[in-house]
Amino acid sequence: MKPRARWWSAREPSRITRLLGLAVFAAVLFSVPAVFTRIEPYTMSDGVQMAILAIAALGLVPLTGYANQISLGQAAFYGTGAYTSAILTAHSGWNPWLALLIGAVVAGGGAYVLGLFIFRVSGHYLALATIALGLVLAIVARQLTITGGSEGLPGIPYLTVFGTELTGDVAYYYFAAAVLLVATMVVGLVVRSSLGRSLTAVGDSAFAAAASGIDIARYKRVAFVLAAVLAALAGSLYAHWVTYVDVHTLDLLLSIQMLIVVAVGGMRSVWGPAVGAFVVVSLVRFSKEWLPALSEKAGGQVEIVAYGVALILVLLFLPRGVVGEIADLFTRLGASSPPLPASASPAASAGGGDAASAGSAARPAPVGKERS
Amino acid sequence: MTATLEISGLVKHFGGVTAVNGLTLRHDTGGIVGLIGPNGAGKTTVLNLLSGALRPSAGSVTLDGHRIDGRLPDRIARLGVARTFQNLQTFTSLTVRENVLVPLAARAAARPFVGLLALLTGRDAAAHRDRADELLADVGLLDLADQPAGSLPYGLQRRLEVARALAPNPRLLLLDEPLAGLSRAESAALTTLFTEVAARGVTILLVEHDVASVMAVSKRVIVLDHGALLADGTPQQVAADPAVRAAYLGEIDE
Repeated sequence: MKPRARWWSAREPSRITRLLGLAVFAAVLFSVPAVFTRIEPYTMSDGVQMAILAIAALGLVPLTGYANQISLGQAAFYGTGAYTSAILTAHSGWNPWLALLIGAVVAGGGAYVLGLFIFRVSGHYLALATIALGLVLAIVARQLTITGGSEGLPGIPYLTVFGTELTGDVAYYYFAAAVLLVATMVVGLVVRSSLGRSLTAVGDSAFAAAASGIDIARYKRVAFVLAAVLAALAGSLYAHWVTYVDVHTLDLLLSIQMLIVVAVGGMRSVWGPAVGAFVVVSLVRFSKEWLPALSEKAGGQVEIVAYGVALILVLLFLPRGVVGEIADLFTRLGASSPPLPASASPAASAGGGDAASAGSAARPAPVGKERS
Repeated sequence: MTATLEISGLVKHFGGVTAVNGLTLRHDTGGIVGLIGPNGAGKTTVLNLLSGALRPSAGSVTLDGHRIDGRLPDRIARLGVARTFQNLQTFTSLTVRENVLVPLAARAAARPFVGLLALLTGRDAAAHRDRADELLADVGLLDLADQPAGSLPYGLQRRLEVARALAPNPRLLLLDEPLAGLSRAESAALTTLFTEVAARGVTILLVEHDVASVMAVSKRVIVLDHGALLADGTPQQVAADPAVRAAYLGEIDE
């Protein structure tokens, strides 16, 4: 008598539909070069940016989408990864892969230690603390010699995969897309695991989660570390792509951009960051193409305005993000079609055993009468 | 053996307001204990102090000899205290079954190394699923196990909270106005469930505005007024107490 799970609405779709979804996602990812190299005004550089941005924002799905924790420090960890790779390869001549790994460990370790303090108190301290972290790191990076000061660090080597040096944007895109695919699968595993379920519980009701025996600080910390590691990985990929790192990789605006990416794409979907990155990078591309035509003086500031407008539009019209709203649309279409099992409707089932419950669907929750 | 709850000199100040003022009581005979009192008497504060949602300003609470006051809510939960909330606190984006799986998995994950492994592999023991389904069957929600909890009508979410609270086999169950907003039939069904749960050896502390229901199901009734003990005894004794009648100004026979 169990209601059948539908792939677009159930939290646990079947293995086949999940693999099918993944195959479609992979097909779309790997067909991007065929499109972007032919259609104006896109360039393959946009594709690489999208992939890197999506990886960086992916960690916000469990952290912000599920656990409801707003971090404005993704760029701090992104920059940590980028600078670690830059210093260890360009400066000390280490193996890029080892440097990338160390960058991820440094960022993850930093997030863990920071998390020990932040998550002991409830509230939006995470947002404030992560803003502070980004500002502090940016100041440090500007001052130190080893980070190249405000000039940044040039001379980062290209990555070499299977004996091929990834110099061109198309080659680099395929590599970054492959990393994005793997990262998406990993985050997918996490959100479907009991860890993901507990993070959802923390996000839905921290009170009830704690009363259920969940160490909420520990779970938030795990999600924060995962987000930091993914951001650092994206930062390292960025460093080896542009072969140059400066203080802009630590910018607060970049952290905001990553939040916008998941908000636009859908915070509760692992496909959200990829879709969001596509929308945001496209927006940047089009505004760069068309805005100068409208006004001579339109520059970097316009980008910020565009983000703001985009975010307001998304919050107004697509509060669950592109992927979330599409999933919702399918659910609504599915709900209006006839073959709904009797037990799938709460009212119908409640009417069987307990007639009194059936009528209570529309009853509002009583307001807290007493807060003694 | 039923749980032994000892509250000694419990005090809670909120700024200049004293919500709980030196509450001392002991209960070790199980069953349902009703906790009533006029608005602002400090009932919910007592529950919040017992469950760790608030830290006491003074005093101590022990359960089966373990100090629980001042500990974090999740530690207290793992020491055998479960609760429901005055305002619904179901995990609305999880399914009904997952709501019950959360406390079961939390207990397994709390062990340091095994727990981390369990977190990362994310495989629920089949035993957990069986236990969850058993609990859902007890509260009559098994048919809705795969529905999102948020889509359930209010009365059924109330039941789900009870099933979730019972999942980790608590020794002490704190119920904060579980009957608020329910129809007469729903209330009756839920109080029957509480009686069954108590019969299985779980001590229940029931905070409830519906005094008639409390009197009907409790073996002991504690009356609070201004954060202090006003009366304590069997429902009959408490109902006959002139001080209680005065405090309620006739609310008792509504």
